[in-house]
Amino acid sequence: MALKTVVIPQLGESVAEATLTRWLVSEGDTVQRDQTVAEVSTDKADTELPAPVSGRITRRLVAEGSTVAVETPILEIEEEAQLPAPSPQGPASKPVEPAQPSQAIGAPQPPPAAPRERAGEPRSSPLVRRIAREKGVDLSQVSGSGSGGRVTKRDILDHLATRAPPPPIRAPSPARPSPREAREPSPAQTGEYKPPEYRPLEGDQLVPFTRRRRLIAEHMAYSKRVAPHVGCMAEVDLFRVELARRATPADDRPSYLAYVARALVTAVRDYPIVNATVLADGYVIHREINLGLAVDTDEGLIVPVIRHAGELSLSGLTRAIAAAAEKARQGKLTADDLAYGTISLSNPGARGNSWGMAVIAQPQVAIVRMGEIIKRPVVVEVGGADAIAIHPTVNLVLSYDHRIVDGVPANGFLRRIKELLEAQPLAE
Amino acid sequence: MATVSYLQAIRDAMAEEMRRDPDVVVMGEDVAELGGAFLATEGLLAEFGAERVVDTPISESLLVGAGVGAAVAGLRPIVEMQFADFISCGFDQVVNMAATTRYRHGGRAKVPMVIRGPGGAGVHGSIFHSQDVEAWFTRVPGLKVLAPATAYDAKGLLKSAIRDDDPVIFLEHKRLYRRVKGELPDEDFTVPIGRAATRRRGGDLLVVTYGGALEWSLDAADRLAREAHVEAEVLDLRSLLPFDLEAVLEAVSRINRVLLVQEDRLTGGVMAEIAARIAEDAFDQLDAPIARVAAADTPTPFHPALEQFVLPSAEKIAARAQQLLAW
Amino acid sequence: MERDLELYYWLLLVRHFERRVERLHAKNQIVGSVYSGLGQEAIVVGCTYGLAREDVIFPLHRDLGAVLVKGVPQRLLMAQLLGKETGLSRGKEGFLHAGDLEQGVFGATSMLASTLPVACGFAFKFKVRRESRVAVAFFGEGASSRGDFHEAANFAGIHKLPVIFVCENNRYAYSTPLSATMAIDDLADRAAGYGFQGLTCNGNDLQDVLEHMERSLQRARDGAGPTLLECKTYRRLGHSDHDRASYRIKEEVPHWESRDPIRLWESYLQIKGYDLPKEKAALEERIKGEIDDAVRFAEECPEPKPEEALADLYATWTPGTPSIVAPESREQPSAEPGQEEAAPTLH
Repeated sequence: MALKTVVIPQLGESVAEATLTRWLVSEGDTVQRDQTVAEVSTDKADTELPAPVSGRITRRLVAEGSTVAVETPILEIEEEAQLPAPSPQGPASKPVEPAQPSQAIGAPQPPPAAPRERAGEPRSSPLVRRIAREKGVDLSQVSGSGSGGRVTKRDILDHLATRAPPPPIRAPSPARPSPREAREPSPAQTGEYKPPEYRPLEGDQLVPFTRRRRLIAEHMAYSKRVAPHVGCMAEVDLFRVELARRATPADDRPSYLAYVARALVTAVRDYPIVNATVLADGYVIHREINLGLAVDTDEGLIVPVIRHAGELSLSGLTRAIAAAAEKARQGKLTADDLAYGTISLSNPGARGNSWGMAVIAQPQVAIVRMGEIIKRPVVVEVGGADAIAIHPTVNLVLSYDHRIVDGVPANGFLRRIKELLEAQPLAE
Repeated sequence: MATVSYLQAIRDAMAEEMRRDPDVVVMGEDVAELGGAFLATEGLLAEFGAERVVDTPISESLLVGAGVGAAVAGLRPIVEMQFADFISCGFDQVVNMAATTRYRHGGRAKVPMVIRGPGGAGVHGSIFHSQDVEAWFTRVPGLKVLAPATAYDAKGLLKSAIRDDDPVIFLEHKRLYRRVKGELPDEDFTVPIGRAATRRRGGDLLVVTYGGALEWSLDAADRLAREAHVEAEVLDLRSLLPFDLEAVLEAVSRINRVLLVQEDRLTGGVMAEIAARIAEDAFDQLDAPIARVAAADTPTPFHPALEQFVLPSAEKIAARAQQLLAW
Repeated sequence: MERDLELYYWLLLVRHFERRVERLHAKNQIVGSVYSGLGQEAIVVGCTYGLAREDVIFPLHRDLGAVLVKGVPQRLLMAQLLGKETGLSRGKEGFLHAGDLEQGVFGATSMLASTLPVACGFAFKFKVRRESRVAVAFFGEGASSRGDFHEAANFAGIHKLPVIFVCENNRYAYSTPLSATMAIDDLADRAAGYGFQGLTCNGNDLQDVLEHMERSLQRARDGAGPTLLECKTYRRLGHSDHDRASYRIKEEVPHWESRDPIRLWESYLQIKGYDLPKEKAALEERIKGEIDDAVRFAEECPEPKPEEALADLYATWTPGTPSIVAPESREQPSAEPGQEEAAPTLH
């Protein structure tokens, strides 16, 4: 049997003796290597003595509180190698005495045998932590290739590429699912974040989710999670639209919304990529344009769809929009009215503020949001000279899904809408 | 198109601007008869005469101060410092007079002057003919500081500086004067102040640099591509005040590992500010710590071996890049 | 108004205006330091009175009077002193360092004599453009120790520039007396070393200053070159409001008070037959009205907005904004030539 003797170490250049202030193990205890066995104090510092080997304490050689010289033996440990290894069948042969965990008050438990990294996240860079946050990645699941096992950008991107893709949007045939059917994990399940526990305060109003609110919440969170939203804005001069409207009798005068819708569906012809649906392993560019119109109702946002919007004239669009809005207000929209959208247009109306970025209705890839239509000073050319005029204007913000839509077609698409609106007459 | 040296580009920029605008004058030590110690103003006296190309005594403070006066009075003086090092003798006039005149006068004065001269090391000029002086001035509000590294920029930026209504410190690099050549268009062109230029595309590592360190950085990038199959992108700031923060941040957001390279001494250099801005504005775009390569914090010594020892080089840049990529 | 009385008006205005400034400073309406030109009024009036509007002066901290005589409106100057939005520098500087180029006044820095090279730059432009204009730079005998004085004088001499260096030799550089700053009696002697004329005059005698200045101006306008005009005088108060000037020799003070430039001019007026008490009362009433009006105007002016601190740094760039490129090149970044340029050709 190999006995290991623990001595008081040289605790500093000028230290000759030390006081054993507390034993943390008893005779008969089993200790792990590096487990603290005693606390020692000198006039310079207090320190902890670790066990040099794993094994069983056979003898404590000095009493608590005694002051002894450096190099004095204080403890004997019977090394673990002498103990029989545990058999695969179970805890067969036991050590001579049952291993008792240390019961010393305040004694730290031996650290888990697992590598340190397991306890927390591995080392990583600010960029990696941001990506992990955004994509809901548990960094402890990512193996790092950087120095010291650090997780690098490439590591996490590789990890994301091999990780199971997010729940796919089902194939469009026979029928594409409506947004309501796109059931996804609730927002709370998507990341590591847990909201703090709610403590009721007087005056707080607790609002349980309605079914629709929950659907909206889930859809919004899902869309933001799977689709990298990119925005761009166009300032559109509606002066010529205004002239065209005024030239139309008040009774069937198209709304601004109809003009924008008409320009949007026309522009889709030049940039078909924005009229698309994302699938798990690809995407579909649709020929028909089914225009979702985001409408605010008492129960929240709802997006009725105008089918075959690409084939409707300005007056046809005007009528279709009026019909959809009326149905929405009366709560008469059917599931069919809400399905099959391929691209969306949101018009928050007079309270739409200067601009805003809408969330894309999945599985579409683009949505245009109108700001309020107000008069602004614009620079126009009069007889070859620049002048300032007061024109009705609107800011249009396109949100697009950067997974499949690149900046160039997206910018081109929005630019085209602007051109169409500013160059009247708009083709019927 | 014609192949033109960096030095010739500077000479042409001045000559063309003097032809274009009679308010442009050149003042400096030995600029007239001799055409400047580096011959940057050669031929100007013959073409434009002694009232527009003026030799001055060895009086840098006078030179800068008179430049301010002439500029506020309506001329567009180009003041040559024979060596950028000598600007220290006119320091007060640069930082207290030129930089504050517009501010002191509540915006009712403009100081359209250029202070130009050769800085930079690597030609065994030793302590007083090798300094990179840009960081003395990049923290002086009211000044603009430019450091071209190509013949194209030397001409285009100098023209922009001459046409600019603010005092501009235009730092040429004497090592590049005759080494660097470029194909320059025959027609008039300018390079906008405040915009960086991408000199090489790559996705593995971003090297931000300027001036004399550009050619080392490009050499290092080629070496990395050849030997380590690493593609470095090289961004040339060229304009140091104001600098193109947008371009830097855009590149950082794509590339995520950043090596900042300057010929100037490390401490308090231009790249210290770039590093701080990246850390402030793009921390979560970083996949590794920001790294810098710069000269040692010493004067530039005389002996070639000593000089080489303190200065950055393509080897040192490539080695630091490898460390950064392994992080 | 007759010339004699007009000059009297300026002398009195400068003195009363400065006194009012001191009072406003005592009430904390003017912050920072104020520097009195008491006893030196004949110099600022005498050297500025004969200038045309196109001529440019470069006053220093003790030359508020020169700014008034050169034509900066009292209201504007008072607003500047009170740091108001309407002041010359819109709150960015006190009186000392702001100028009014419209009236031909260039603002100084605190580095004394640093305006002398700048004056040479102006004068160089006047000369090469054949403009009949003159630059007049004020400085003290203390500032003449700085290299800028010598570099400027040398350059002005070489090019025979239309510049006049007016040295107000008031015998003290802050606390250091003349004897400790120069080894010569007349500062004007230094001009000889730079190849142009140096004149010495009695800086407390307006008539003497006027005559010497007239000669200097004529010379400058004739293309005969610069003049160093030394005006001997005495700084009656401390360096600034916070200096009690205890280092001065006691006997000096009454000696120089008895040579007060305004009293000297008044005795001249009396000898010429003016009804001095009447003229003085009328002028002082007018001056009081003018200064009251200037103070009232300045007090009513708005304070500058704090963000004004960020304005007026550059003609073509506002710091904090991305860059300073012209709008057309901003719109089409791809057309920017430098971006397309390949790596420099090295060999």
